[in-house]
Amino acid sequence: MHNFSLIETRGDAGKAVSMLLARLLEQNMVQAVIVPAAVPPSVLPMTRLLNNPADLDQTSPLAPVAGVSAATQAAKISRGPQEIKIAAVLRPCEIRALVELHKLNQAQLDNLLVIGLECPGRLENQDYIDLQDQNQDLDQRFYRDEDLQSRIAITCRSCIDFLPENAHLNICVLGLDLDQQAGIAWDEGPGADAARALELKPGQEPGERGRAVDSLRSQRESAREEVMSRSRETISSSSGLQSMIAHCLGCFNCQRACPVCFCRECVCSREAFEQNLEMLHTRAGRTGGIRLPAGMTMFHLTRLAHMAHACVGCGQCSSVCPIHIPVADIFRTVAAATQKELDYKAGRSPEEPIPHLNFSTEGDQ
Amino acid sequence: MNTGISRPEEAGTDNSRHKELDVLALVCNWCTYTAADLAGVTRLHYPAQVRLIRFMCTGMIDMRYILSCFLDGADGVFIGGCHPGDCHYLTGNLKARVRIKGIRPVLESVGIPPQRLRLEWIGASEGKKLQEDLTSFARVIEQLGPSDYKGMNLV
Amino acid sequence: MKEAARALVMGGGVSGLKAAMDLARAGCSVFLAEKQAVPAGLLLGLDRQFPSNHCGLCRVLPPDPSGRTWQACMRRGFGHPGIEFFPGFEVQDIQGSPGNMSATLIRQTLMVDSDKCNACMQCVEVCPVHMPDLFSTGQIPVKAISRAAPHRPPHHLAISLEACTLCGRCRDACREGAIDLDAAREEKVLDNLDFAVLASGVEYCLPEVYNLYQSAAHADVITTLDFEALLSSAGTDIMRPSDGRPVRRAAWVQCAGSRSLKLEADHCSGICCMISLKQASLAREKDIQCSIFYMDMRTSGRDWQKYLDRAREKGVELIRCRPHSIEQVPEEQILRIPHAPSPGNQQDRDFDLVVLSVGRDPAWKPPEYAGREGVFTSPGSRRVLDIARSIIAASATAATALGEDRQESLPDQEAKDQDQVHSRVLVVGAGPAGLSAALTLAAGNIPVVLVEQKDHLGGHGLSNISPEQRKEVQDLAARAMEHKLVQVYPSAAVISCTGPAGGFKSRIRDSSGDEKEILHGAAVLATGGRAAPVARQEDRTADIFEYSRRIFAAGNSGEAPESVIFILCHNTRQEPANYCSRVCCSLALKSCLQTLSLRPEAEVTVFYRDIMVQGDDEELYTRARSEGVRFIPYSPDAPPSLEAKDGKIRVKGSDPYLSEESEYEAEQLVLAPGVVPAAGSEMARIFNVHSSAEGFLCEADAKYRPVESGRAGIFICGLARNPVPFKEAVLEGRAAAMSALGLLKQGLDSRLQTFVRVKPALCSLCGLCLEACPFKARYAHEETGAMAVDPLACRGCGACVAVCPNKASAWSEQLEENVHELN
Repeated sequence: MHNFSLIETRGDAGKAVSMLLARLLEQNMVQAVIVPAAVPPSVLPMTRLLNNPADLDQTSPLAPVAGVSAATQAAKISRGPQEIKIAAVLRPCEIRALVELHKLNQAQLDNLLVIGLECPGRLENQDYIDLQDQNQDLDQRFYRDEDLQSRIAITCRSCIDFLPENAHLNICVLGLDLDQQAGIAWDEGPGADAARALELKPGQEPGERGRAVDSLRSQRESAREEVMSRSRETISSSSGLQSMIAHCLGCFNCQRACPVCFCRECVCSREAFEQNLEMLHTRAGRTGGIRLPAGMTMFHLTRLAHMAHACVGCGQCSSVCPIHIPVADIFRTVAAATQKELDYKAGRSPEEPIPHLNFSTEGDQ
Repeated sequence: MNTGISRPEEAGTDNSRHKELDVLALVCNWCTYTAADLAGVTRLHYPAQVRLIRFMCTGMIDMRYILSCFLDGADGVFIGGCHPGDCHYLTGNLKARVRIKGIRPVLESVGIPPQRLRLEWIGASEGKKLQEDLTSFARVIEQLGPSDYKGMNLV
Repeated sequence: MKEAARALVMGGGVSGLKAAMDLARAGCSVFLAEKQAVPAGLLLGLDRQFPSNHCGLCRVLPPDPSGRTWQACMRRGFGHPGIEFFPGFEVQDIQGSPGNMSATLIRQTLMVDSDKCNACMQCVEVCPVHMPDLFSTGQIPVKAISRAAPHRPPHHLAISLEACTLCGRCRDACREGAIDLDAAREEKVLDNLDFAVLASGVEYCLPEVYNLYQSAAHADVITTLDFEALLSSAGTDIMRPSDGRPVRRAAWVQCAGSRSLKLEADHCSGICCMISLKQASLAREKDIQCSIFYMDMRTSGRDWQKYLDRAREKGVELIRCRPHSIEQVPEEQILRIPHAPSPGNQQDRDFDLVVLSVGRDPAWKPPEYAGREGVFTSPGSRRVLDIARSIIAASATAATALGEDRQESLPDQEAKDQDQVHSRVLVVGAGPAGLSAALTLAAGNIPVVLVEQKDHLGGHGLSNISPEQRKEVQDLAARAMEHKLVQVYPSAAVISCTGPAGGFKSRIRDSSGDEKEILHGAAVLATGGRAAPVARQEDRTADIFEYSRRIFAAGNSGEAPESVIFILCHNTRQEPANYCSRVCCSLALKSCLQTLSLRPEAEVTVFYRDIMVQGDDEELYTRARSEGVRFIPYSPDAPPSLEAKDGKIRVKGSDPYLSEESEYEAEQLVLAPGVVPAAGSEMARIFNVHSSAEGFLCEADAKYRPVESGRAGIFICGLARNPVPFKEAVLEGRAAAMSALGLLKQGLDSRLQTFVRVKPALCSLCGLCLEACPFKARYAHEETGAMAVDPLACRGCGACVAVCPNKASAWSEQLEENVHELN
């Protein structure tokens, strides 16, 4: 992004960002805001739709947690009437998911002012709740406490795409002392319009930020290589794959939590009800009988086949698995191979066509 | 949309060696199946472990059909469609091609080497090519041996 | 009008099949006679067809969503409930008058009983008669009894009675009693026929008969038809017929049996240039050195010039020269063609194989009954046509036959408008093509809305130089104005068109500027074209259309300039207008002749690249040369340069035969800039169909569906689709109307079959199926936004089902159970 501006945080960066959002509403730059907020008695910030500037002081835009992926909701709301512009505070993986959903007609990007959040990672929901009990200002502390940062969700630990792309406005936290200042970055277009409304003055980007980003990236890259080589090895045989997914309960949580799995109802969950009993008996007659509910391996492979090209690496699938199958690790591994083969990167650009629709006549088999 | 399974019982070749290997050939009705007809008419033999399944178009071959074949114990899946430009439905074969390109890395990741899935363009008049392609594919599968998923009875 | 007209179609090749299918679709009872044992004629031998170089045998039969017939590969045979097929029969004679005609059919091919035959081939073994065969691969000796067609099973044998001597050896050799030679004398008489369509094609020239290039003496001098067979049976190499060695160098010699005064063949066969280019392009893929000896490369079709360019890029060599002989060099087993590509440059070229590009047999005449009342002859039975033009001609002929049969009919279709399918057709453009389409539809009881941009009907047809053709257009226009089923909107334009086939909703703006909504079931786009603009240098320059109008205007009393220079293909047949406009050459030749007849001493010079006259228009070229018109070829790399001086035009060009630059002066310069489509890209946008870079509307299938656009229910014809002369525009208009008529008849059929459905509760409206559907059969419903399927456009390929991740897009209930169960 070309323009960068520092804002004073006075010890509460979340509050400072909330105030910017409130000003966007007041200036009528947007008519609604999508942002995480914990409403008592709950302590876990969840995606919330607000359109009253006064309500913004209760929100937690920087909370290091994503109850669910906000992409699904932002996409859904964006399909509303064209007069209503919405500012959505989204993590990088959520923006990528939003871009994928846009290609599938599930989102209307024109209606959104996308505010991207630099993301050092998110805590698992339960961890956040537990830590909240021990730390009064968890949202603020997280950004300076390396110990807290080391407890982020397992998928986030090997995420290298932690800088938001395709956003209009970025909230910058890396390499900054959030107790003093946070950064806002933007490019020409809607982002610049918003920056003007917020009276942000372009300034010098602190050099420290580049170093912080590089160091985080190299740390993540080695973690990612390790995760991928481990799961690559495990899943590359039928027994290895089974060792990971054989105890799948068939709850379909991973599919429902996945922000890019856009089907109203998964073909596999429907088939669970429509099993051909005759066929099941035939299969049961083979050595070892058949595992029930049937179709679980097919379910995971179908999701890989359908979504590997679109996987944005958010890790929600792993987070919601009741028996801790490393679904996201498997996906990350297969997605890397698939996206490389198709020369595609999920969420890279809204203009990039879905690879399965590219029926080029060129080339051979 | 008849997808009849046929297994040519062929005398004179040694079946016992690869009796347990299964090769499914998913072929398009218009070109490759016509080529198979022609191969039959001209009495060309193709390997006995190949079973032909006829589809109206390779473009209707869902990725799940391919997964299903492998989970069900197929050792190789052969897809035969029209040459680019020949598709009865204009671009079905190209859809198959990009779909196969997308599913190959998935299969490879879970232990099904890419050689076990092959796409060939076989025109309606190419009975000979059908025979050659099926034979060479069956030979590759024979060298690879049974698939890792064979006998797992997974669904 | 009777309930169903009884129609006889003669010839089961591509034309005959098309005419028969069209008539059956329009509700006739059709009898189809084909002298071979199997239908599709020549096509069965063409594995790779012009212009796509692909097989297309599965697209010959039209799709029929009513499910009564279905497309099948022609190699597998043919059946249609509306057509009674008589394989092996030829029409010997037709008697009587329309409405009560009777035809006598005699056997030409006798089929061996395939239920009894066990393919022992003893019959073929003992047959003493050898004969030439269209499908011969050169490997199996062809006998009078042989396999019915290359793809037929070995027990499908047939006896050609043209060759058979009825000696009976095959019958005696057959232990199964599958051969009944008594049936050879079988005759059939068809009575009470309303009309007949002759579509049996023409005979090709056999070089042996005319002793062309002593071909009978050289086994490796073959015809283009033979070469198809060689290609078909070829593996990685093409083998020489004489010794089975792979061919490395091959030559094609154009105009074998055509364009020859000696053979009394003063005609151009029209498609041999393209046949040779196709064959040479395919041979290049087998790494054969290919040379074509030609006089003019007649790439007279929309994409044909580009086809030539592609062939050249593939390395096909073009040599402008008509060889006088082919010599055999016995010791080297090669064929030598001595030729002189430029004066004084005598060369010998050696080849392994020489292919004579044969066209229509000079002696060929249509059968005697072709001209009788009630017998409609397809233009494809007068001259050689490529696949697309055969299809158009056959359709148009069927339309004409049907139209004349139905003259007294009354409108009865308006009532149907409440149904899902509207019977009305919107025709855009009232030139020759649009008017023909409108009147053909009206004759078939289909109400027509005719929208014309100008305030009068007739288009360019009104400025045609031929008085007969002008009269024809005026008649068409008058009939359209009077016809009670044709509603004419002059000075009007179409603004938008939405909806599926059968239920289009279009907005038009009429002459008073008011907008009006029109519901229609189909549309025919015939928006025509216009002369390409010429950068006018000065007064003494005219374009060919202007000049021809001027000198033909005053009949034979007009004034002609004392000297005139024509420059043909001016800025055309090269990028960005890389196509032949097809009208300029014959117009120029007629203008040359008219100039000379008005002023015999006039000096007329024509700069040309290739003279594109087809069929009998070749005579114009012959006459122009004999009357002293000077023809100078030029290459597009070095076009003649122009200069105006002292009230005269000076043209400098290099004459390749004189190998020097020469200067010519004339009082008048005439340029032929070609034609361009008038409203192609705008129509493409409004009707959501494809158009080419030049703005021509594109057809769904260049071979078998030439007048259909990619969107079901939208038909295209005339200059809007491709450059066509007047007569072809009329044919295309009729053919488009015939296709529209067939579609609507089907749409009104309650038995429409749907292959796929959408389950709305599961559908996420992602639109993947819209992208995947190759036939634009899917659309988002105008009001609800839900995905819907257009049954008239859907062909059941299943691409939408495969692309839909959760099967909200599903097979219809009837089909679902047939699709393989997966888990």
